[in-house]
Amino acid sequence: MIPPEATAWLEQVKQELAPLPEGRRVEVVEDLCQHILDGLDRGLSAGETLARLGTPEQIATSTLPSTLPRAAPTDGPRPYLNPRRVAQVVALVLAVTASLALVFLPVGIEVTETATSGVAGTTEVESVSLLTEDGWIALVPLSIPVLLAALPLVSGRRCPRWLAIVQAALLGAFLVVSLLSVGIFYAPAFLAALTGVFLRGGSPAAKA
Amino acid sequence: MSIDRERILTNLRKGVLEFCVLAQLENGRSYGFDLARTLQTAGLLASDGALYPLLARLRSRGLVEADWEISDSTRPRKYYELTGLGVEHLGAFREVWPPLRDAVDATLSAPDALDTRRT
Repeated sequence: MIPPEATAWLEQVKQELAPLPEGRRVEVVEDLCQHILDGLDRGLSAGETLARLGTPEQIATSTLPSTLPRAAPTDGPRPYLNPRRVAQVVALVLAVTASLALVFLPVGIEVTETATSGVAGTTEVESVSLLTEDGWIALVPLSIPVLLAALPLVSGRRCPRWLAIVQAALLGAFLVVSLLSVGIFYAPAFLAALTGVFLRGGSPAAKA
Repeated sequence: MSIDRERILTNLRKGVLEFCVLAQLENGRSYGFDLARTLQTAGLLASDGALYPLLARLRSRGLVEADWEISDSTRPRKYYELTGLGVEHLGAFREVWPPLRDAVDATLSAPDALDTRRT
């Protein structure tokens, strides 16, 4: 049984080793857990064993600078190019395309009535873009899905599943709202982001 | 001044520690706790915890392999063992280390020694 102070210490180690591939990190934490149990078996207190193990920061600094670059060749493709990341890049491209289409394509209708005194006026219906209709202020709401789609791409080398879920949920919410006004323009971006949730987010070696 | 000394030691250990681990395993399979105690007692390991990321890396590179086993303990223990590739790596290190060590020693004891040998 791992004592509570050791559990907290192991949690800290997990956080410090976050840059490591998931499989490697799990392996190290599992080994440290065994080491603590071995120490207890030999009559050492949890505090003594943890002191000999060093601080989580020490373990990370002894590991990360030399381990990560050397691990790259055996760990396959760089984690940035994992399937989830590809789906998120596709989602960003689709979101940007939808926003540009909404800005420049004639998706709205402008009705102009001309009337002179005593004479029936004429009504002109003209298709206009959002830019023509609302001016540059239209860019503000249209930038929201683009920023949402870009969010996981700037969050670091590995996008955790929870962030992909949050992104897909926010894009989904924006899609629902936009269905009431501009239509289904953002549905493809949402579907791409949703696909990313179910795809692998780490490097192949991370699961080894 | 003590900070610099510690940094030098840390960098040097990083370079040789993995071969010392391989050498330890050459004597037979062992588990983390024992390996860590031995290496730390020898002054090769700054802290026990530094061993495990290294072991994970050696395993991923195929230099050691790990197996869970119940031996004298009531719970399973993870034993590390040298692989054929690990033996080769250790052999290569044994070839390059003595000349390097001698060159460093010679240079440190007499800085002109390097120039003398080259000429």
